[in-house]
Amino acid sequence: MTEAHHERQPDDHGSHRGVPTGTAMDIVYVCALAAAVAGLYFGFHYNMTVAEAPYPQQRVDARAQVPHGAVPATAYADIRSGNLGPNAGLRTTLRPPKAPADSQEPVVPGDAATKLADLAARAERRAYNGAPPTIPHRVDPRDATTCVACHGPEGLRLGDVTARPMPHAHLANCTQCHVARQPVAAEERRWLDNDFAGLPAPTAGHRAYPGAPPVIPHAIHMRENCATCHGWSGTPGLKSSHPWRKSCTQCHAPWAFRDMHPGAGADSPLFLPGPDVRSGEDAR
Amino acid sequence: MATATAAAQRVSASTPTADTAPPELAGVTWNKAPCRFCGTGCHVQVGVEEGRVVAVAGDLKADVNKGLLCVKGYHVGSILYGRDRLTQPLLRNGDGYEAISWDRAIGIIADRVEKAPKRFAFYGSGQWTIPEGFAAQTFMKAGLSCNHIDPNARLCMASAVTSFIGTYGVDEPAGCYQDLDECDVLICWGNNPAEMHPVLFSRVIDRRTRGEKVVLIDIGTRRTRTTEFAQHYLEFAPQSDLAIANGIAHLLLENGTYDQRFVEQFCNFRKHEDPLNPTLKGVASTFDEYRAALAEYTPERVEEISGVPAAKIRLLGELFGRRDIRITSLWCMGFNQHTQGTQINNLVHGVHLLSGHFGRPGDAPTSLTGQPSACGTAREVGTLSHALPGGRLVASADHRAQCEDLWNVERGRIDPQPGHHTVKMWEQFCTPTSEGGDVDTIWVQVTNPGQSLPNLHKLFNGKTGLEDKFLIVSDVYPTATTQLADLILPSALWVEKNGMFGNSERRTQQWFKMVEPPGDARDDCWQTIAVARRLFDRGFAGMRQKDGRFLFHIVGEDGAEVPAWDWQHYYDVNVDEQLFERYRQFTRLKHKDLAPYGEYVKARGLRWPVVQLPDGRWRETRFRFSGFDDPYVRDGADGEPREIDFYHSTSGDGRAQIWFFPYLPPPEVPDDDYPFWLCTGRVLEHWHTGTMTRRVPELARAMPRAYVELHGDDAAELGVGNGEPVRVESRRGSVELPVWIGGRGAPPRGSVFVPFFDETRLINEVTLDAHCPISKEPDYKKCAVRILPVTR
Repeated sequence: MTEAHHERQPDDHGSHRGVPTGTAMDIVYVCALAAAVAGLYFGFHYNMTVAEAPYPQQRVDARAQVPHGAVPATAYADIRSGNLGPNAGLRTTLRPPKAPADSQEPVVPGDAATKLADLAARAERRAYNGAPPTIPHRVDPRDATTCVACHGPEGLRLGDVTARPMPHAHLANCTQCHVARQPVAAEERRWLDNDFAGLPAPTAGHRAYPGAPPVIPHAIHMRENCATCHGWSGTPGLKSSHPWRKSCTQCHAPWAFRDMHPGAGADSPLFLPGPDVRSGEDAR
Repeated sequence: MATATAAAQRVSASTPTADTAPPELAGVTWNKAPCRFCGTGCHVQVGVEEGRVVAVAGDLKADVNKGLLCVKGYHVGSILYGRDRLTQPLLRNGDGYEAISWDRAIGIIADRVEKAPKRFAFYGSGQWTIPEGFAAQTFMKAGLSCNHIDPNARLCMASAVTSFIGTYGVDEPAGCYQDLDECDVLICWGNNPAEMHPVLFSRVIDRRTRGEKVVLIDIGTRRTRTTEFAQHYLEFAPQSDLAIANGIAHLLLENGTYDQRFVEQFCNFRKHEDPLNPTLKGVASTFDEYRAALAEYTPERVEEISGVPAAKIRLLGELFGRRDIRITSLWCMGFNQHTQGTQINNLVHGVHLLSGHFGRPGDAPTSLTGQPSACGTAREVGTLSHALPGGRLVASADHRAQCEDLWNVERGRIDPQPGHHTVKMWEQFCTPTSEGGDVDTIWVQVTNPGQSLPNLHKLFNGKTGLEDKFLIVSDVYPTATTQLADLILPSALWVEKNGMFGNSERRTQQWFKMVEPPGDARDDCWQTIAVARRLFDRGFAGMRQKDGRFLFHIVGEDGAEVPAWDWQHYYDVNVDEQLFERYRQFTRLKHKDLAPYGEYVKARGLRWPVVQLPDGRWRETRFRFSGFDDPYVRDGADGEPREIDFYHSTSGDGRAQIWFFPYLPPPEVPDDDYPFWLCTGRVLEHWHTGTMTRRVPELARAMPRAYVELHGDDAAELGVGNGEPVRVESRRGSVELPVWIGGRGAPPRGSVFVPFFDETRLINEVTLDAHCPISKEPDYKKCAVRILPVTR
């Protein structure tokens, strides 16, 4: 599903009106006050600028809603209340076990229907294929670094709950690209509809012949860690049948053009001219 | 000690049997073949339907790859079907070409030979099948009494060969790929197996998934995909690998952690009287001399030379000093394409010998090859200007006499003077006859020197305009080499013909023809035999055996001669089998025993020496020189096989040679005019000059064009951004390339890397033709260039 939103921008001219003339200190005070007011205003309006997902407002049983691996984690604010939701059973573990990144457990990749269902679920978290996914659980909008606690290079698996490792290098400012789908305290719908229709994800990579390893059907940029989606943390429909193999591009070819590889230009001939056959006994 | 018997076994060349049946392709017949590309020697299952290859699968029965391939191997079937396959002989006519008959083409080559047989040269390949190489070798050395035959392998593994001979007295690795399964530490020396030998690399890396601990140390001049998997990355200044190896040896002696027992029992010491004029076998040295020579290579001194922190040198020293772990070293072109190629190979063999990390599974100095039959054809058949089949030398009267007898030609047929090695051959070809250029015809088979030779302006393009020079090129596609060809011959490729290869671990492999070549394309081996027969028919004495028979006497089951020179009859019998059985007789001298052809039909390759057991079965050898496995290891005083026996020792006492060689700077280093190091090499998706892989859409799309990898800070200083064009220029030539910052590999500041696969961006117009004084192998890995932004 696709969804974009118009942000309603606060009228930021308001805070500049009526600045009195006076001493330098007055100006500082007034500026500080203005900044505080503006901050308060922005703060109050924050929730309105965040897209709302077709996501249950009441978390009853999140796994029932999103059965594909990623489930809403408990908001930190809720932990004190004891409402741990899907993580409730994991309290006793002080140091959660590392995710089995090198697991040899047998992998049963999903069938075609599972794959389509998982792709559809995946699409629900993105405006189009290639957009940064929205965050399917609550986050603290003031502390993005907590993302890494679960989405670090190793990822995390607690019971049935999977936090995937980020597929790209660690970029600290997570919420620069990833926004929460469920606003912290969104109460009402405050955006305009939009008809943007996003590009869907490819369902399979091209194979040169049946049995050939498929080429990689998407760009690799920002998806350098194949295991995020195709390894142990992937959904059944996208999971590789052989996630223990680590050197993926040994067999699966990328597409340089899509990755804007500097050698990919098509502006000059790829080959030297072949022999110019002008005549002959059996020239064709 | 087992005894090998020479009982030849008749094998019919009938329909091969289908084995493992991979994927879901009904109506497809499957047969085994080694992959066409690198020296790893994976076996593929080739699916054929209605006369065309339609699928490929990893061969589950193959010990090398255990059912797995790399992205090139999975697409190897597509290389047959590029739309611009050469399908008819073409003769240069002014600016264009005239299509001619094979009959005329063969006659033209015979004319060139007759005109000046001693000025005729054959430039071949580590992609020649064993029978193709043996035919060319026989044609030149027995037929023309001319030793101007050399393979492109001279550009590839000649330094490995000279070092194996200098260290062990006989060529090719002692260990095998099992070392990769059992090592605790893998050291990649100037080597990027994640891209160049991917199947071997993942064989190691996948052990980690199974919970095994493998320490990977990458000693390189730039970060690569291999580095991503390494625990330790040691970045060294080009050429300073010599100092690093000496630094390890220094520490082993200083710490007293060298393997004294191993050294005392199995090793001697060797040095060069004058390091500036080194020789293959040098002179005897002593432990004390060795120790004294190494004294200066303290970790701190090595750090000064190499830039590798002393602590990291100590790490290497400590690892080699441990007896409780097994260490395998891997190297390939970083060592071989080196102006001290023989010496750096020697030094690292020496580190393994000194530390006793040798001869047990997992303890191995392992030299990899880049071509599918660099070992099988170039090294074993000896298609080199100085060599004869089976590890023999042109310069040895005994070896010549043995070969003359085996070829059934009169004594004295083989010219005692070694021929021109590759660089010299092309230099002579590109030198006008009036100025002393003494090669006037070169026949190129299965390789692309117009792209792969170094310093192309000098060694290839120089042919332009020399009217009396004649270039014959047998190939499957138009290439940079056919650009200057006077006669182009269309060849059969891979499973369009019978073949045999020999891989990096002494494994000899066989396959059958599965599909017809396109148009009028024909086997390279047939081409050689057809020219030989034309010469025979014209009365050229060299094409006769001493009893008057044709040099390539091929017989049918009834013993009557089959006219194999006539293409219509070439596949009446299995010519490969007959040539192989003849060649096999050459292999015993150096204990490189090969089994009868039929054994290779049954197997996914066998590692020599292959000896016959009392019950008649043929047994391969995994660990050469090791008493527990090698049948040729002699018994000790206790009547049991010795632990280790270097039975071809150059010192005649069963010992290997530990060499000393000092660090010497490279011939060209960056300066104010040319401030950058240039390193060239390969990429995962393309095999060497890309003539095959660039015609495979999946591979071309993944890696379409060449580029220059540049450090971001250098790019900023030059004012160029990612993708912007620059000119990479040396004293010899220049090429324009887009900049890639943070690309496939990451060179350090002051260093750039350019792959050589792109025929429209020939980096070898820039590279240096300086070469190792012993192996004559050029150094493609370091020369000085400048980077000039291109403004449009």
